[in-house]
Parts: sequence; C-alpha cells; structure tokens
Amino acid sequence: MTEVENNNTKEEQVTSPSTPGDNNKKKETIVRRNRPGSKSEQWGNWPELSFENMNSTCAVQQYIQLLIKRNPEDIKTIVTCPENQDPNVWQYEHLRLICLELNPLLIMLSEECHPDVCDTMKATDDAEFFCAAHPKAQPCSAIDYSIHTVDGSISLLNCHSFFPTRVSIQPSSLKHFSNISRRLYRIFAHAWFHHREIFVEFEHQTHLYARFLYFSTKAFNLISPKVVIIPSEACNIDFD
Amino acid sequence: MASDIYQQNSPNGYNNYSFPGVLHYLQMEWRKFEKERTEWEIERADLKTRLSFLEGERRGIENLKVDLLRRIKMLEYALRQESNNEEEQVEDNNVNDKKQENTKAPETKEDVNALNVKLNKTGNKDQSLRYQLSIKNEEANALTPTPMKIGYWNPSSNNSSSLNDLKNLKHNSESLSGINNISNNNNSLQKSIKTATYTTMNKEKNLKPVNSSSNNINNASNNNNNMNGNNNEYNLIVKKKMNGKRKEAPLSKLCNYYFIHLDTVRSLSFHHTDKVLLSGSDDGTAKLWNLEFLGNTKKSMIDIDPVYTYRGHLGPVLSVDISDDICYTGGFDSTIRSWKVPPKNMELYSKYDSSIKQHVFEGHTDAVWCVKAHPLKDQYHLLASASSDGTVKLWDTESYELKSTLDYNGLVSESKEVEANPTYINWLHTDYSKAIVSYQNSIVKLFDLETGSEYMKLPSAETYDNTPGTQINQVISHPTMPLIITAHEDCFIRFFDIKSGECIHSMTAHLDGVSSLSVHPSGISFASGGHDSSIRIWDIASKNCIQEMSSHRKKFDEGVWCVKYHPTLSNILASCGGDSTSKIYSVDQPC
Repeated sequence: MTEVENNNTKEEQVTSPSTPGDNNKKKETIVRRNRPGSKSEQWGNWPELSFENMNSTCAVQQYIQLLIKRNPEDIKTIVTCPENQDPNVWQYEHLRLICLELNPLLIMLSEECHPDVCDTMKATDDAEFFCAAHPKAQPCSAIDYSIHTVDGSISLLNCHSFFPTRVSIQPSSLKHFSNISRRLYRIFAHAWFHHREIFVEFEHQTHLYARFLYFSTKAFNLISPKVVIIPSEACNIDFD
Repeated sequence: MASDIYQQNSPNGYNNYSFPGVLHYLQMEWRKFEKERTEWEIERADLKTRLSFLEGERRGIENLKVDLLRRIKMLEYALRQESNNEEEQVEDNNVNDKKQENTKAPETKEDVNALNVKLNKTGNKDQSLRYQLSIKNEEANALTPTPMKIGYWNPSSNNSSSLNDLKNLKHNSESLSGINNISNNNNSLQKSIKTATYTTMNKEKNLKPVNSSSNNINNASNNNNNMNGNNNEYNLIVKKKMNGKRKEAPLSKLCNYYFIHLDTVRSLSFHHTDKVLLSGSDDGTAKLWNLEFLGNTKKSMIDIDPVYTYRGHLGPVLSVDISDDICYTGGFDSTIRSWKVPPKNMELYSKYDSSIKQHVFEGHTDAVWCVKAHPLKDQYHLLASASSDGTVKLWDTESYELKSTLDYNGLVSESKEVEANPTYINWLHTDYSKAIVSYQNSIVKLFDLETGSEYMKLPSAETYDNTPGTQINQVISHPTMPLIITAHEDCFIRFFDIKSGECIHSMTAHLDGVSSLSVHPSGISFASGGHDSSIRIWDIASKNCIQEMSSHRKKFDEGVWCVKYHPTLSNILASCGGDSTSKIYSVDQPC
C-alpha cells in the first residue's frame, strides 16, 4: 500500500522540475564558474555582476576582485568603501586580498633574497625588524621574515576566535588590522631598498604597493605617516 | 736454469706448485665461482617471480576481502529492510489483534508501544548479527597483516588455516543469504515476533515517533523500483524522504575544523596512509595540513595552521596530488611542480628551505587542470597531466622526462586540431595499465599507457549539447568492480560497465553541476559534490542517496569543487569549495 502512495507522490514531484521550459531557461542564464578544461583566456570571463546582486558571504571579496580585474590602476575606486557597506568588513577583505596578492612578490624574492645575503630584516640601516610570527619575536633573515609575516597574517585573518565570520567584525579584533598592515609594509620597504628591480617589476604588474599605501594611509588610518619610508616615486600611480 | 731460479724464489714447502698448475687451479676456481654466480642469479630471478606472484596473490586476497566486506554490508542492509517489511505487517496484525482483545489502553498508544518494542527487538537482532559480522570482519582483517606468508612458502604452518578461514568466510557470507531467505519466510517469523511483542509490551513505557519505520519501508519499496534505473529526477526525491531518517546507517558528521585559504579551494588530495591533506587554491598556494589531531582532541574548535604553504605557481593552483612523500601541483601558469613533504617534526615558521621545491615540469601551453601520479609508483613512476591545450602528457617522475603526449585521438598526430580539452584523468583500478580521461565534449576515453592508443570510448555524451555546460567534470573508477562513474556539469551522474562498455545507470544527482566524486575505500558507497553547494553520499548497489550535507557557500556559481575520501582510513571525508575553506567529515569519530 505504501508503495502505491509513494509512487504517486513521486510522479507529481518528477513532473514539476523538469519541464522543457525550465531547461531552456537554464541555458540562457549565465553560469559564473571556471570549468575544468577551459582555456586560460576564458578564466573569469563572464559578464560583471553588480554589487547589489551579489548576495553570498563572499560578496565583498567578489566585488573587490571584480574592481581589480576591471582596472588595477584605478586605486581610488578599488579602495573606497561603497555606501551601505560595513567599512570593517571592507578592510578585512582588502587585507585578505593583499596577503593573497603578495604571493608573487614572495616567489620573486625567494629567488634573489638569500638568507646569507639579507641575513636580517632591514629596510634602511636605521632599524632591524624582529619577526612577530613566533611566540617570542626573534630576528629572522629577510626572506624568512617576509614569508612568516604573510603566513602569520593569513593565519590571523583566518583565526576563528578573532574573525569568526566574514560578515561582521568584532570591534576587539580591529586592532589587528594596523598590526598586519605595519608588518606587511616592511616587506615592501625591504624589497624597495634591497631588491629594487623586483619591486619595480612587481609594482608594474600589480600596482599592489600603490593600492596598499592608499588603503592603509589615506582611506583608512592603519599606519602612521611616520612609518612610511619608501619615497613617493615608488608609486607609479599618483592618487593625490 | 729457470727451474733453479724458480726453486730459489720459492723456498720450503712451495716446491710442488708449478706455474701452469696454479693457473689451472685459479681457472678452476674462477669457473666454479662463475657457475655459482649464474646459479644464484637464476635463483634470484626465481625468487623475484615468486615474490611478484605472491604480491599478486596478496592483492587478490585483499580484493576478495573488500568484496566480501561489501557483500556482508549489502546483506546486512537487505536484512534490515526485510525486517522492516515484517514490522509493517506485524503492525497491521497487531491492530486487529488488539481490537479482538479489547485492551483497556487507547489503541494508538498501544500500537506505538508495540512498534517500539519491535523496533528494539529488531534492533537487537541486528546487533547480534552485526556482532557476528564484526567477528568475521576481524577474521578478514587478520588476513591482511601477514599476507606474504600465506600458503606458498610454508603450506604446513598455521597460515594455511587462514586460507581455510577465508573459504569459511565465503561460506559464511553464503549462509548469510540463507538468513535472508529465512526472513523472507514471513509467516513463521511474524508469529514469533508477535508473541515476543505481547510478553514484553507492558514493560516498555517510553514513546517514540514512528516516522522512521515508515520511512524505512518507503526506502525498501523505492529500492526495488529503482533497480530499473532510468528515472532521473527520482533519486532526488528518494533522498529528500530518507534524509537523516535512516537509523542504522553510519552517517558522516561535519567536524568543526576549517582549513582556510584566501580564495576558492579547487582540489584536495590525501596522503595514502597518513592523516595528511593537501589542498590547492586560487590564491596561488597549495597547503599541507596535518590531521593527526582528529580523534585525539576533545576541543570542539581549534584553529589549524598549515604545516607548509607551497608557493611557486604564479596564478591559481588547479590540481593537487600526493604520491608517497611527493606533492604534485598543476597550475593556471601551465606548469606542474613537484614538492617534498616536509618532515613531520618541522616547526611552524621555520627557516626557508629551498630543497622543498623539487622540479618544474614544463611543456604544457595552457592551464593544467589535472595532475595524477600513478598509484603503482615503483612499477610505473608515472605522472599524468591534463591541460586545456588539448593534451594529456605522461611524465617520468624519476628522470622528469616527458614520456608521451596524448591528444583526443591518442598519441599526438600531425594534425594539430584540438577536438576537445581533457578535464580529468584517473587510473583504472582494475587494470593499472589504463588511464581514463574525460573530455569537455562529454566523452570518456580509456588509453593504454604503453602504446598510447585508445582502448575504449564510453558512450557518455548522451546529453551533450556542444557547450561546456554539459561537459564531464570528473571521472572515477571503482576500486574493485569494473565500474566507472562520471560527474557531469548538467547534474548527471552516470555509471559505466567496463566489460561491456555500456552505460548501466544514469541519474540526476544534484541541483547544479556535479563537480567531484570519490568512492569510499570499502567500495560500498561514494560521495559526490556539486555546485549547489551540497555533498551527497550514495549507495553504489542501489544508487540511492544515503545522506546529504551542505556546508559550503557559493562564490559566484562555484559551490563544492572537490570531495575526497581518505584512500585507506575509512572514516574521513574532506570537501572544499568556493568559500575558500576545506572541511572534514568523520563517520564514527567524536570531533
């Protein structure tokens, strides 16, 4: 008896979702997905989605990445927090992306910045920086400092107790933003003063330093102007 | 004169030795050693063949073990359903009986009570059966640690008895089907259950919802119908009904551990034996995670830092694979990189070690979408890679040389036209000399590794409409059965029999594209992940959905990108997706 009932309900449910009209609709809608086997030029090659229509938890990340893809030189648009957007989440997502995009710089540095040449982390000769990723801050070689700092920042940004969700940020965790920014700045500074060619090439490709500088000094007051030691000529974009 | 000198030079007892005599003796000795040497070599070759024979035998026994375990599980399942059927009938009978007896308590309550008792009773029955089964499992397991000794070398030793045990096991499983037959004999069993119910009924006080049993009955009936197969949307509905209701099935549980990248995580791979997970992400890194803490810690939530972060790819890492202690990553930058697994005792934030980087395989001219190391590392030392330049390349993992390049038609021919890009590569587990390659035009082909020629083409493009929206995303082969399962972008999962080369089952499995599949190491079930952000676990025999979990969020239209069972530890499942996290599910471990 149950079997018969069951069959009936099944048929009802089967017919509803698989009408031919439905299939056609499916084809027309745009699927924003990088499918396996697709060519590299097709990567992310889909019509832009407006920020209002992004409704997943990754919306802010999606939107910033979209702005960067649209024009990486348009620093102001990328960094300026849109209206009705929580500026703390905006900063958080920007810091995540900066850590992500520092990856190529680390790869380039690791080929040139050997521990026996740059055995301490310095920008100018005025100060040596200690690596804060360890339980007790200690001197590390420049490449170790850079990798540890990026890894440590990522780990902090992903730390569940400080940042349990990407939708809102606890006020007590905001202090980490300036700590992370200050340390990441030193990586740029070291690259500028000791590996100028790499810095210039990287900056030419990504404009990450310009974005970082605007983000952390102008848009949000994360690092004090006193700390900025890289001359303004390093920025190939004039955002003033 | 010469002999005089000779005598002078060799005083005392050495007079007897003449030059030719010594030479002759030396030659004799040399010949003797040479002969012994050849004999040893023959013996060595002989032993080698024996060794390979025994290894084959061991593998055979392992396969048999897995097969038997599977059968036991199937029988167990059938038995459970059989007993559920009985319950239903007993229930009906009980209602009638109660009416006749004019019992004082309200009827419905009585019914619930009775049913409850019955559930308990059948539960007990199942338990005892399970106990027997577990004993048998132990027997089967006991065979595996010492497989090399079985039979061949010392047939008189107690190991031979283990072979007998194996035979017994086979008999046992046959006798289990006997149990099944008995339970088919409804009348007798029904009566006995009924009497038992009456005696214990009054003792039972607590009431439980009856839903589960009726659900189970539904399952049973669905199960029967479903064998026919071609009802596509059907399984989805089955799933909705049985989701979470099945009492006995060991359901996977999400553990509160997150393995976080900065962007979409696209690929996962487990170490073959250790609790080590490798994940590759769009953020350009691959990260190695140590899962040794699983089951060892009582903390509900801990932050996990990667053991190591592999940096080297410029652009997203699309595919990862671990083979022994080497990690392979394929990237958007057309390169494949190999890395060492760092020593386990390595501290977090230790010094930069340039020896972790091993080699960069260069040759592809477009994104590398899949890398797969051959499981028989010593025999083949082979790495396969699939790229959107339209080719599959086979690399030697020892000399790092490119062995061969296969395009859609086999070994690269002169015509450079690319017909379809490969999407995924796997190895045929029933015959390791074959590679399975899935293509964007929804075709699956099997290639012979030695000759590079096409061995088989599966009729998998049933719903292909000339767009990547209907492509195959992944293809897997069953560890023991000659079965290939494909994951299609247009929501289908299809099953192919390798022996006949035909599609034996086709079903709509997700509400959006199916991105990934992974077979449970026992071969009984498999998991699928889709862009509807859900993970579903399916029974291979009945093709029913056992469980659905959704624990990922979408980034754009990318939901779950990869699901992976640990290849040897049967209780760990991992998934990753667009929300830049990887998650772990465990079957029976508290976490």
